This record gives sequence, C-alpha cells and structure tokens, in this order.
Amino acid sequence: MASANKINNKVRECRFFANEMTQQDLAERVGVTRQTIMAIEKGKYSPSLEVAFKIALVFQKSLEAVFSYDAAIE
Amino acid sequence: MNMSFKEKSTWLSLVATLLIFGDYAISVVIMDANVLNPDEMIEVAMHNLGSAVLLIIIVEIIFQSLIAAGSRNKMEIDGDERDRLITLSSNNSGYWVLSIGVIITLGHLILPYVFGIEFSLEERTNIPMFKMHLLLFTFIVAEIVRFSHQIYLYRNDAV
Repeated sequence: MASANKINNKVRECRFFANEMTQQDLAERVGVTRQTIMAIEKGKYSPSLEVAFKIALVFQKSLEAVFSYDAAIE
Repeated sequence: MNMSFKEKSTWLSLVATLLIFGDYAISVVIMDANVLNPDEMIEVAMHNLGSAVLLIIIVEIIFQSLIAAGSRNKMEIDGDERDRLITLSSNNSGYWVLSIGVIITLGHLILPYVFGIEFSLEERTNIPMFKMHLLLFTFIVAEIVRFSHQIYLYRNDAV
C-alpha cells in the first residue's frame, strides 16, 4: 500500500476547470465510488496506476499534470 | 452521514453481530448451574445458538437487501479498489484475533496432557461446552474487530 502523503494531486482543480464536474460524475467515468474520489482529493488515498491514468484521461491531461510525487515527504 | 454501500453494510453487520451474538454470549455466561443441570444447560445453549444464527441470517438478508436497493449504482455495490484494500487490511486484524483465540484454545486443550499443567478455565465458569464456546467467542470477537477496523478505515478516508 502506498503512503498517502507522498502523492499529491490536482483532481479538485481539474474538476473545477472541467465545468465543475461533480465527484459522482468523475467517479462514474473512472469506475470507482464517490468516496474514493473524495479520499483521493483529500490526499488520504493514493489510487492505483490504472485509476490515476483513468482520471488523467477524463480531464485529457497527462498523468504528471494531475498527479505528482513528492520525494521530500517521508 | 456520507457513507458508501460497503460502509453501511459493514455497520449493519457490526450492529447485528454485537446485538445478536452479544445477547447469546450473555445468556450463556449468566447460566445458573444451580437451576439447570449440565444437560439442560447444553440444550438451552444450543437452542439459543440456533436462534441467534437463524436471526443473524434473516437480519443480514433483509437489511443488506434494503441497503443494496437504496444504493445509487452497481459500482457502489461491487466496490472498487479502495474497498478491496480496506477489506484486506481489516481481514488481517480479524485474522490476528482469531489466531490468538485458536492458540489459547489449543493451549487449553494440550497443556494438561503434554505438561501435566492443570489450568482449566472451564472449572471456573458455568459455560456449557466450554471449548466450543471459547472458539465461538473468539470467532465473534474476530468478526467484531474486523468490522470495527473496516469502519475505522472508512471513517478516516484511509487505507
């Protein structure tokens, strides 16, 4: 299991710029529950690579544009 | 409260287990050996256990169906990768409790024969079919720990 604090994301920001897409809408497009999207946005849950790629695809961005890894936090 | 289907389902299982098997455990522990003879105690315990098992099956079927009917989509019912991770993590906690209980039961069975140590909890209680109940209570506690850990992880948005 990945440590939750090391992976940062801009999912909330991406939703905002995607015409205020709802968490439920994103969850349905990605194939996870709304609670998982919420946990990802709060930085409490680091998604699998597959889900991370799917989220980036929904916003038509690269993975790095949505998720970043902070090596400084241990 | 903002809960997924899996979380609601876990809450239901926890409350049902606590109430139904808690009631059964109390009924067995407080049995009075002065009122009932050993055979009657076993008969009453088995009757209560049968009722508890039947009741938990009925409660789970009815209420889990109601929760599922109220869920918005199939994804919530099936669960996603986070649900699976939470389940795995909480299963691990339950497994530890179950293992400790099984080791205690084995110790209780083996010690008098192997080392000649007479350490019998059985003589200090009135619980009928003591060894079976030791295992049963271990299983129930393991389930309660598993459900509680699962709810803790859901409530903290963590895995």
